[in-house]
Amino acid sequence: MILKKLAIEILNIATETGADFAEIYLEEDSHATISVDNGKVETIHDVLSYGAGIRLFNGLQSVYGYTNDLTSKGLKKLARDLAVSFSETRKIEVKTIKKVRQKKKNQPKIPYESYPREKIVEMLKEASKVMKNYDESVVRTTANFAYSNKKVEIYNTDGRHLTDYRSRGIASLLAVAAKEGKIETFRTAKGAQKEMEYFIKETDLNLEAKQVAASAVTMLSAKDCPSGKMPVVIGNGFGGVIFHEACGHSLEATSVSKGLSVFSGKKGERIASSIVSAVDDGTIEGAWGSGNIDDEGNKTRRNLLIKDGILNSYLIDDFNSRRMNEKSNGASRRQSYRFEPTSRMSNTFILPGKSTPEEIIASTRYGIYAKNMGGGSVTPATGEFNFAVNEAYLIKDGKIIHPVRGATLIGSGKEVLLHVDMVGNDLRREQGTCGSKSGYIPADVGQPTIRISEITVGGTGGKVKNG
Amino acid sequence: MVKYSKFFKRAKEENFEALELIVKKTDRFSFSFFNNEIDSYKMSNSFVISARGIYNGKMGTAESEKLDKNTVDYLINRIKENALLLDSEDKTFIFEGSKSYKKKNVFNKKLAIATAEEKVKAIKKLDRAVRSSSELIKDVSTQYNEETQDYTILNSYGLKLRSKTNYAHVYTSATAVDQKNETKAAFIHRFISDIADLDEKRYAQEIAEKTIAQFGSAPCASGRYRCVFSPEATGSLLAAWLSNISAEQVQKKSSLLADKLQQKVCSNKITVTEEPLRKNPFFRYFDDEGVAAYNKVLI
Repeated sequence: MILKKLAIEILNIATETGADFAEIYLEEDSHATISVDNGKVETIHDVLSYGAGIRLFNGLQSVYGYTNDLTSKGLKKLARDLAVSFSETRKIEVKTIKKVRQKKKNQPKIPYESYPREKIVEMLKEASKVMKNYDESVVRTTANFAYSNKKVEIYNTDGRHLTDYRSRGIASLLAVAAKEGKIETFRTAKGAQKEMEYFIKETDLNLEAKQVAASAVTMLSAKDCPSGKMPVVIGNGFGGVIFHEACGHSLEATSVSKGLSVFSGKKGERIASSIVSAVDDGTIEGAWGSGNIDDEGNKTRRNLLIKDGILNSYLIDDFNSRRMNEKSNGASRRQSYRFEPTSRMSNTFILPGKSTPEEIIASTRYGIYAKNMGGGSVTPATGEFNFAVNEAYLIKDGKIIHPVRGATLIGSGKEVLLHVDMVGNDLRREQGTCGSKSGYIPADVGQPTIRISEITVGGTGGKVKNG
Repeated sequence: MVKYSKFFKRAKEENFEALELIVKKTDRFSFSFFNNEIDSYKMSNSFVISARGIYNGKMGTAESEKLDKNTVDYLINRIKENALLLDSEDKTFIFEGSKSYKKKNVFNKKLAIATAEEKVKAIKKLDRAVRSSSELIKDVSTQYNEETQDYTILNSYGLKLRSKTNYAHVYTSATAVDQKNETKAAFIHRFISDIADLDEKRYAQEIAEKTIAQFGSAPCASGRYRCVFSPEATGSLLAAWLSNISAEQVQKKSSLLADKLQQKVCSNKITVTEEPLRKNPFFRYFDDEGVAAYNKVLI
């Protein structure tokens, strides 16, 4: 997007007052959303996002700015404005910059924008029809497809120049069922960095549509969930959102480096039950959260976070690596040029164990099966969380008895990991959008079916009757 | 200087029934302290132009952050292509404009003219006050975010409305550790229109109390209780429930308040008002379709 000669000039302007590192991040993103609401194409919205961010480090201080003005004048002005933050003498000077080439993965051969939109509309209308026809209590359906084609260019004072092309698509479905004054809303999404054909032919969107409508309808007749401490079986796939929110964020250098995480200084220590191992893997070909390089231009990696219950690694970006005295590990991400990058998750999941999901249910005398997780909140410094369960069932004598509504899981990331006593062999990853300091980014969450031996369940169905 | 007339001229040539443009120019300035040392400093300027137009009886939309000789073509062509694929039966129109508007000047000159150094100094003092408010406070992080936005809406009926606003947001998180090595965390935040509005003593006392009050807490047994809600908690509870009041949800029958107009929906002690004309950092005398803002009673 800009010439090497101009990049060198900008980096040298940025570092003339003492910054020991500078970086230019340029981005052009063409993205679109197609929305089918109650079977009708209601909106199609195209956006052209365009801008650059310049970042300076001086020891443990970082300075960041962005602009849409990508002219030589606009970028030099931004570099000058940022350099005013420091008042020392020049420490570094860039003389040459070398293009760093990397393998180009995760790129569809036919860009999403070249694919006929009529075919996408057809796919969404069919899924809407499946949801609507599932049951007469389904009162509203929405089916959306969104894609993004992002070109990225990075220059930095280490003399590196990198370019990357990132192309992502996501189909999302929502079904609302209503009956006798009760309303249940369910969502699902399938995202990837793959050809459009993947969504049309390989992903069974109609099956997803049927399942999302079924969940909404089932929960209309659910009884109130009992409350108290009990075993909870958390379903595979999106059940991993608890691990993501209550444990994953606490392993990011953003909080770890400042001692603000419950897992700060715990490397090499037991933080989970010995049957728990977990990874953050940004290298999975075509996966929603993967990347060729991270947003600092470092190669993405498969980072083993927890091995057999022992904390093995944090997620570290270049800036926080200074505070931690550890090398960064390809985990720096941002929503767009408007955000300074920092350590974030990519595709994060608990690795599969040995039990079948059927064995896990069968060995539970009394408890809750949390099939579908909802939203929640976490306090990062303490790891305490509170999560709603959208679709839950009561387990009695090893069998799923009936659906229960209003279940809430209350605990702390630290304790919940230590109380995992069964891990299934049915690992599944699902696609979500993770929000944190550097904006909203695509990320996979996942896990096999797991059982927590004891956790507090909130509900309005009275105190737990243990057996 | 952008010539918006080019967009309207081109829309007319392409047989658009109407066109609306929203132009937002935003400047942001922020910095953060961690344990009383500046660890981050940010500034930015950005631009976005959003367009929606009626073509072939349907409403197409597009937006761009890139402003060059191709922007008119990009927006007009995208709107046309998108409109041709829509099949919603809802009647579409672009609002021509209200008869009158209740303008107010909410731009905070004091905030705009205060220097970056003055703001940094004030926040450092505030951050220090939080740190020294209790021996149990271990880590403190304070962020200052300031935004100035110039917002203009224009349409092909000749409507042109502009609003310039600015505000600052101060956010502090603190962690405290007690003698038993138990950690508790809390945060507070304020929207301000002048750095002189910050009462650091009161601010520091509030976050210290909020953090330390959590020590010695015990789990609450499940059951039915009489509950007293603070104004903040009441706001959160109402905000979640009031999502049901949006016309989008009501019209599409996915709201618990659908078909409930003039019926009892909650205790008669509850009255909820929507007051966009209240003078605060979020005031704008028109909404995003150019309709004059007015206060209203919802419940």
